[in-house]
Amino acid sequence: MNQKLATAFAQGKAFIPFVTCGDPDLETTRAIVRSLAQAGARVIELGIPFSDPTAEGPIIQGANLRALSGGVNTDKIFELAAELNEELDVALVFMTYGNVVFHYGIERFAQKAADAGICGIILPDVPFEERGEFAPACKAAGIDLISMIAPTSKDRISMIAREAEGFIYLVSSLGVTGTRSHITTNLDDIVAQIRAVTDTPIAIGFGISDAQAAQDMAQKADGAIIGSAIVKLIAKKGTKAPAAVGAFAAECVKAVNEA
Amino acid sequence: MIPHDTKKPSIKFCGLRNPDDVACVNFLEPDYVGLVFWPKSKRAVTVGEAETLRSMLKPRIKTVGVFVDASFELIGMLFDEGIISAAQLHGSEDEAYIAELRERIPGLEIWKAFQVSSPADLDAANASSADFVLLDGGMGSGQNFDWNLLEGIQRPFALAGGLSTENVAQALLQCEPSLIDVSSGIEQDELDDNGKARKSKEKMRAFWRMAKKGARLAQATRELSRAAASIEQAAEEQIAQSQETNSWPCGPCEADLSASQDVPTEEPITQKGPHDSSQPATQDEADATGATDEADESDPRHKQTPHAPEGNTMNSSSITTSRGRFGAHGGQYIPETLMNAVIELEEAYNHYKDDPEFKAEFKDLLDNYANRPSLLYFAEKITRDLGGCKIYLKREDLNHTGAHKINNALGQALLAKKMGKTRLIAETGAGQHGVATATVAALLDMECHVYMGTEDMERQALNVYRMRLMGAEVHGVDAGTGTLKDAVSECMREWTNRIEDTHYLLGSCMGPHPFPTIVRDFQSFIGTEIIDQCQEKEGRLPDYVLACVGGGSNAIGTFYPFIEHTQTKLIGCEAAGRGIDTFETAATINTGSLGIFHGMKSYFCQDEYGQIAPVYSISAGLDYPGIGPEHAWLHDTGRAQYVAITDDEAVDAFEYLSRTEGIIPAIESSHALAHAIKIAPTLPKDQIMVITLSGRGDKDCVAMAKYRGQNLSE
Repeated sequence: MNQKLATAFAQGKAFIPFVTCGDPDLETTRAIVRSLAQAGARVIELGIPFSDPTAEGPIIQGANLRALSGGVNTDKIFELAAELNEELDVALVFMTYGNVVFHYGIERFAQKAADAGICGIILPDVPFEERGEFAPACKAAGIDLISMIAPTSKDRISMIAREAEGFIYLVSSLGVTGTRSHITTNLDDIVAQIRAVTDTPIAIGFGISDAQAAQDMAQKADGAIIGSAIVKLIAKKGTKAPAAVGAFAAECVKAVNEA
Repeated sequence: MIPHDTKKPSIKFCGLRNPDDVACVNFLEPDYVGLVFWPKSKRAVTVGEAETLRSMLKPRIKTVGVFVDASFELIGMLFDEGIISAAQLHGSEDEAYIAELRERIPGLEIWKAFQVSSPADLDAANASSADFVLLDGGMGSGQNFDWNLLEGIQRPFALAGGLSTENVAQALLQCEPSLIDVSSGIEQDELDDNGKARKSKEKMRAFWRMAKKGARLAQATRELSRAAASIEQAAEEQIAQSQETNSWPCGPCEADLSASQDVPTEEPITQKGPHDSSQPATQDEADATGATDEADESDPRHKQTPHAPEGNTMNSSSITTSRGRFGAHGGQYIPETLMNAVIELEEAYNHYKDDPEFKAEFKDLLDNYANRPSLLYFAEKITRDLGGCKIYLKREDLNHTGAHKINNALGQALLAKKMGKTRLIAETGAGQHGVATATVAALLDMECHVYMGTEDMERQALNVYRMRLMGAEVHGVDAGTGTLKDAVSECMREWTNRIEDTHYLLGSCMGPHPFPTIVRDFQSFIGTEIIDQCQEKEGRLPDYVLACVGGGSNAIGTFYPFIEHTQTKLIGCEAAGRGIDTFETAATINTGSLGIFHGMKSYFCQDEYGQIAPVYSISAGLDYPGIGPEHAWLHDTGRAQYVAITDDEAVDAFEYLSRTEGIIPAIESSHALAHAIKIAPTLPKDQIMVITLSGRGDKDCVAMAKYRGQNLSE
C-alpha cells in the first residue's frame, strides 16, 4: 500500500476531486490543482485524457476531447504531476484507460508515474480479471492499482475487496460518470460486504453533484469523489476556473469533514 | 523504432538481391530486409538494384543497408533517397565514426554488428552508442557462435550468424533476441552463374513459419516457467500466512490456483496449442523435418490460457485468469459494472449452445426465416473474364435483410430471450447489423434501440428508414467521428445504464469475451456450408477463401471452419480507404498496433500515446479502427493473410461485378472482390477460390453514384 495515500485517508474522511489534465490547458490544470489543495483536498485524481472514454458521460467526454485537441499527452502530464507533487502536499492519483498505460508500456508507465510522485492509478476498463497484467508493474513501482466495485458486482464484491489496495472506488450507481439528482443504490449493503473482508478505505464516486451529496456519501464511507460537477465548472469558466473550483472544493471539504 | 520486443522478435531477411524474390518477401512480410552494399559480398547489390528492390517492397517492410567501412556520402545518399532507413555497420567503424554518422544523417537508425567469440566482445556491444546492436558469429559467414556467451548482454539485440529453420526455435528460446537476422539459412545451396548467392522461396517460407512458431513457443515456455515459480511462491506465502492468521479462510492463492488450472471444457483439446510447450523440441522437430500440418498451431480453441505474470517478484494476486484469449488477444477490458453481465452471458451461451431445443429453434429460424443455406454460386463470367482460377461466390447477400448479419442477430436475440431479456441494444455502421437487429426484435417481440454515428446515418439513410419502419428507435451518435467506433462506445455506455432487462447485441466478432466467440459461432454456418457445397460441386475444398474484414464477423464465420484445413489459404481484405500510406485509412492489421479498446486486446489504429486514431473508409461497415481478436491471432500465427484494398479498387470491383454477373455487391464485400480481381488472373485454372459476398449493394448505390460524381438524392 502506498504510504502517502494511506496517510491521506488516515487523516479523516476524504473529499477527492477529479480534473482532466489539459482541459482547457495544462497551465489552468496546474492552477486548479493548486486551488484544490489549498481548499483542503488531500487526494486528487488527475485524468489523463483518452480519445474514446467509454466509462464517461458527456461532460468528461467533452473534457477529454478539449484536452487532446489542445495537444496534451502522457509525457506532458508526467511533467505536470512531478511539478505539482514537488510543490503540494497531496496524494495524486491518475485516472485513465487501459490503452494509455498499455501502449506507453506498462512498466515504463508505472515507473514514470512513480517518479512523478503518483500514488495510485484508476483504470475503469481494467476489471479484476485483467488486473494481473497491470498489477505487478504497479506494485514494483510502489503505486496502488485502485479496484472498482459497482452496484452490479454482487458476488464479486469480496473477491475484489480482498485484493484492493490504496482505496476502493465504489461506483455509486449504474451508468457512466455524470451528475445525478439522487442515488438509489443500497450502498450501505455493499459497504458492509466490503468491510467484512478488508479495512481498505472506500471512496464513493459517480453522480455526486454537490457538497450535500458528497457529505451523504462520505457518511457511508471514507471519502467522496466528485468529477463531472468540477469538470462542468471548468468547461463553463475556462481559464478562469481555478477560483470557482477552489470555492466549490472548500464547500465540499467542509461538508465531508462534517460527515 | 528499434526492435525491442523479445516476446515478438522482429525478423530480418538479409542479402536480398533478386527482384523475383520480392513477391515472396512481400507475402511473408518480415519486419526488415537487409541490402548489402559491401561490393565484395556474394550478396552485394548496386545502388540502382537497391532502389528497384525498395520500390517493389511493401512500404511497411523496412530496409537496412549493410556496410563495411563505407563512406558517409554513400550511406547519406541511400538514406536521403529513401532506399534505407537504417545502416548496419560490419567493419571497423568506431565510436567516432558512429558519432559523425549520427550528426551527418539525422534520423538514420545506426546498427552496429559485433562478432562474438569471447565475453569481452559483449562488453563492447553493451557500451556501444549505436541505436541497436547485432551479434554475429562472423562476417556473414553463416557461422553461429557459442550462444552461452550471450548471458552478458544487457540490451536488446539482433541475433545473426548461422540461423536456419533447424535452429531458429532453439535460438529464440535460449538467446531471447529482439530481432533474428537470417541470410544463408534462406539461400539455395548452389551459387548462381555469377558466383552470387540465391535466396530460396521455400526456405524463406519455412524459416518464417518456424521463427513465428519458435517465438511463441519460447514465450510460452518462459511464461509457464515463471507462472510455475510464481504459483510455488504463492503457495509458500499462503502456507506462511495461514500459520500467522486465518482471516482468509479461502485465500486468493487457493482460488487462483484452481482458476489457473481451469481447462476449457466446452471443446476437447486434442491437439497441442501454441501455449502448450511441454515438449517444444518434439514439435520443432516435426516441423523441421518438413511436416506441413499446421493444425496444431492454428487451432484457436484455447481460449482460457492462464495469464502468466511478467516476473516472479509479485504475490499471488497476479495469478488471475483472464478469459477469452486468442493468443495475446481478446480478454475482458470493460468496466466492473458490466462484468456480471458478460459472465451471465457466457454461462447462458455455454448452456444453450448445446441445448437441443435451442439449436432446433435457431436452425428453424435460419432455414425458414433467413433463407439458409445461402447459395454457393459459380461465377462463370468473371472466372472466364479474369482468366485464372475458378471463382465461386458465397451468397450471403441473398439472406433475409440482405447480409450475413442476420445469422448472428437471430442467434443472440434468441439467446437473450432465453435469458429473460426483453430489450435489445445494438451498434451499427453500414446499417446492416442495425437492420438485422431491428428485424429480429420485430419478429421476437423485443424492444430495440440502435446506436448509429450521425455521419453513417447520412451515408446510409435508407437503412435508418428500414430500422424505424420495423419499430426500432435509432439514436444518432455525435461523439468522436460519428462512425461505427463511436456507436460501439455509446452502446457500451448505454448498457451500463440498463443491464437487467437489456442485452447488448454486438454485431461483430469483437468486444469483450464472450462476444468474439459467440459471434464467430453464430456466423460459422457460412464456412461450414462452403465446405459442404464445395465438396459437392468440386469434390474438394477451395484453395483460396476471401472475405472482407472490418471487425471481421463474416470473415471469421467464413474462416473458422477452414482453420484446420491448412491447404486452404485464408485472405481477409481490410479497407485501406485512400491508401495505407495516408491517414485516411481503416486498415488495422496493415497500419495498426497492439492495444486495448472496446473490451478487447487486439490491433488498433492509434497514435504514439495510444489515442485511437480517426479512421476512414468509403465503406461504413469497415470504417472501424480495430479488428476482432481472433483475426489478430490468425494474423500473428500466419494462418490468415490480411491485405488492404483502397476505396478506388473497391468501387471498381462494385461496378465490375454488377455489370459482369448482374449482382450488386455491398461496398464492404467489394473489398474482397477487389483482391480476387487482383490475384485470380495469376492463379492456375484448376484452382478454386471462394469469395464471401457478405451483403448486397442496394444500400450503397447513392454513395457509389456520388463517388462517380452523380447525385441520386431527390
